[in-house]
Amino acid sequence: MAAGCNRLSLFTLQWSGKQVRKAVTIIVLVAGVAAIVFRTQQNKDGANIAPIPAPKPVTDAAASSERQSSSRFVSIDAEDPEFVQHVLPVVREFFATLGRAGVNPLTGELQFNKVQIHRGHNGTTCRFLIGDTWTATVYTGKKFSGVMHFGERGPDNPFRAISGANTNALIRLSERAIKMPQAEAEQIIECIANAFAINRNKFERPEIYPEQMFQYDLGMYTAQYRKKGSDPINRINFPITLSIRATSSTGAVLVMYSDSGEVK
Amino acid sequence: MDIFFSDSRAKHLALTKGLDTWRTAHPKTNMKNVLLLIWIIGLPLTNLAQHAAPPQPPGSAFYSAQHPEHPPFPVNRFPELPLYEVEPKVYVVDDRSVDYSPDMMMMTSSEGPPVPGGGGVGQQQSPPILSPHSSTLGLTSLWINISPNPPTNFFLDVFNTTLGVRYGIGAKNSIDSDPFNTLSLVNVFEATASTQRLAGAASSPMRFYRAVNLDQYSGARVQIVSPAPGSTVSGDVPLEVAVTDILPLFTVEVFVGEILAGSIQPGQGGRITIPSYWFANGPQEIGVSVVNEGTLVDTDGDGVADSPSTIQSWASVSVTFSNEVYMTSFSHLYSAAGSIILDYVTIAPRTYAFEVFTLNGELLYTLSGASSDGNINPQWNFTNLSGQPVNDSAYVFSLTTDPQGGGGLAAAAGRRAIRSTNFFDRGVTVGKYVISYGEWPRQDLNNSMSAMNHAVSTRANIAALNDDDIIGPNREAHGTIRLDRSSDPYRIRKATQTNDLATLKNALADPQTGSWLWEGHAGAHGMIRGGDPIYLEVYLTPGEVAGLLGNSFNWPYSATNFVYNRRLHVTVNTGCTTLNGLFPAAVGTPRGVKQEGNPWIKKSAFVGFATTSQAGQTKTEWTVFMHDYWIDGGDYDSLLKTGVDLANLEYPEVVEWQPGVIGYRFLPYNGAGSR
Repeated sequence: MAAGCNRLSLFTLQWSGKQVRKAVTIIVLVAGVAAIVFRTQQNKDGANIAPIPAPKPVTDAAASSERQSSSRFVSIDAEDPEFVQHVLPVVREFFATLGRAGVNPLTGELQFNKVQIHRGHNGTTCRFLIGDTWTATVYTGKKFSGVMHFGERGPDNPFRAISGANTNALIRLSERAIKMPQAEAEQIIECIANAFAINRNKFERPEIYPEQMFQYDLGMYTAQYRKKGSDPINRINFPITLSIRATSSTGAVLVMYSDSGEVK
Repeated sequence: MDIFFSDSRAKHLALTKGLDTWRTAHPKTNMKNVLLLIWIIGLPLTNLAQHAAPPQPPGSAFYSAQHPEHPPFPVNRFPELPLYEVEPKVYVVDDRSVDYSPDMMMMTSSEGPPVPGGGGVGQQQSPPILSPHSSTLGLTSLWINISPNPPTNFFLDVFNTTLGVRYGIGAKNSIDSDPFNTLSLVNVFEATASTQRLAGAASSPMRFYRAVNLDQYSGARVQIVSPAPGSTVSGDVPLEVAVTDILPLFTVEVFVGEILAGSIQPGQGGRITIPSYWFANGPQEIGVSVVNEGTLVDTDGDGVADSPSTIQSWASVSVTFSNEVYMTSFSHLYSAAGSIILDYVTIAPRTYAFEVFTLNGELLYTLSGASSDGNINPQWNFTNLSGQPVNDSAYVFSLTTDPQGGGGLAAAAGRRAIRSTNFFDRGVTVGKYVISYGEWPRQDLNNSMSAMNHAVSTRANIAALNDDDIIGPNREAHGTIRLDRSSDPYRIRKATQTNDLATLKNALADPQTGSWLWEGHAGAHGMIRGGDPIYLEVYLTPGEVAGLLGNSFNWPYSATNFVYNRRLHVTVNTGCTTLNGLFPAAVGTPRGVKQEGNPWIKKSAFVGFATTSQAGQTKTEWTVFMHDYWIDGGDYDSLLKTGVDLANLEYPEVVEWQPGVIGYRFLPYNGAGSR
């Protein structure tokens, strides 16, 4: 601590007559640095770095209900004009794109359920179910409009099974999985990337890997697109991620799509 | 100790001080370009010597030919060496024969000056005192100059400062290139003129100075010196890293893709070898993550900098790995559930011997065979040579291969060995219900409350072990399931017992997905409450957090001192720089353990900020929005990352704090009883 203070006395500014007022400012700044060094040293020594938290009662009932009631998502009908006029066109374009790539997992009339909407400062978020086993989130705003997430839901959601290490679900999913060579999957993913007009120049080479847990192969491949030169540890640096599931040794459908809307 | 000009050593130190200073002050210097240009256009220094300068007038500047990126020195330190005038009062000294190594820099005065070209003597005269001068040779960015201020002090002139901008002076006492030998911030000032003069005490042990524009400072500058971008490498690949920073470093970690390949420690000179055979052949990205101690920041909006906030920097280089035998599923952390199958690939048929050892070298398992279709996939069931189960936290795997059909010397020459030390996620500890309690003004009340909560905690833990609603329907999926019999109630100050009990129970209710949200500032040594009233307030260290989640986390906080007896969970801590700190590791999401695409590890996730965040309404709303979408979106199987992406779109001012997610992208939160 003393060393830190001594270091700060190393320099003094040479003042001209007009600099007195500035000097006061700088002295304050130097004092601030002294405080920084002092406090940092305190921290190094393992000393407490902040006062004891002041009391702030938290009741669980209040917390839960507040969190519930404070949710900004409100339910609307699938016939609601906002959904029909603003969200549905985005959804239709998304599935048309999947159709062009030949990986649309849904055929026939789409049935939208449990539609929820949130009107924010910069855009509108809408999440809904398609049938009972698919989920999607659409964002329409100034900066970005598009599908931010599309995927499966429920007990057969492969990512739920993987993340929960749910052996029963993994066995069930792997037993009905169709195996596809990775080279084939990479070609299909390339077609999807072209259909979505993903600008490869903005991303590192996509990382493509099979989705597995323990010894259970789910017959799926995931591709992740990371921003060029970014830290791969931080998932936020992967604006686009998509997964396909093999329907034959040469064909597949898209089963998960995630887009941050940040870059394409 | 007079570091300036009182003897030849001091002059030399002053020169190196100036040299060192320039490196930071001119990250994109054009002085080097000027000199390079001179050489490139066919005017090597030997030719320029024909135009050697006459005696140099006061106020001259002397650049180093060996280190043209460094600032000029006010005196010619090596009058015996060739000197070239490149413009009036500006000279270049051909000091390519001078040894500027740290050892030479640290000589005592009695040892004399460095010896250029193996001979010569140092300059004995006192140098001129330079008046501040404008940049030379077209140099326009920030730089500093040093001149004596007799009898014992010196001036440090900072040039090209901008009025009103905050600058810092960094100093260190050695030019050792070790990344951890960073500068210490010894002075901060707000520029009042384009040239700022500071006075220094020559008695300081600090010898080398740099000026930094603090308004533009965003962390350490990291450079991968080798390997070269685009190169093809194999075997143990030498990696060299250079770091420039004004703050002490916490860690320098090396990654291949998302996997931690090593950690550079102080004293290694920024060098480490990367076992490229742990990774698949083909294009790979080697990345270096540098985290410094950061500075104190104002986290509660009161205008007072009160909490340390680390800063992370990143650099990477793309190379191609090429090995005859390599791994394809290396991870520092595997799952110990059931058995493990390791994946090796060989580009030509090979025989192999696979062995497993404890960390003490005891042989646990051995297997031999031949590759099949280029693959070697040995399986081990976590048993020793007697078939008894083992349950260590880490093991050493060894695969030794020989070319098939070879023999004798040819086989020996083609022998390859791959060894790795790996750690294991050891299942789930059930019942880590730690009941917190408040602090009362009377000790007897506190004692009673502690005893009561201990009893509740013990009962809750035993009940949890036998409760399928808590364990879930698939006990076998967790590997080892243990009962936690040691959970002591944890005191959280000034929160009522009832509230804490309910809140903590909710936070930990689902052993797979128990989610914690801590709003507040986080540092290496503790967390400070934030301003969001709807979430749990805690004041815990990372080690304590690890304990609460069922992990072991001991000093030093390295991979070898973690034991992940962990459940699947998500931890959200929106305090400053939590993404870089110890909390991800404490909760089971260590940096460098690849989770997506890794079939061997159960999943967890951590949300936080990589840089300083500001407490207040924006952060609270960002957090609540993310939770609204994700936690309260159970019916929709919402992705955690999408929740963060949406919150970023809605609150773009948060983006500069670099919100991030470490770990797996999907975790079900709304499990039964999760709140």
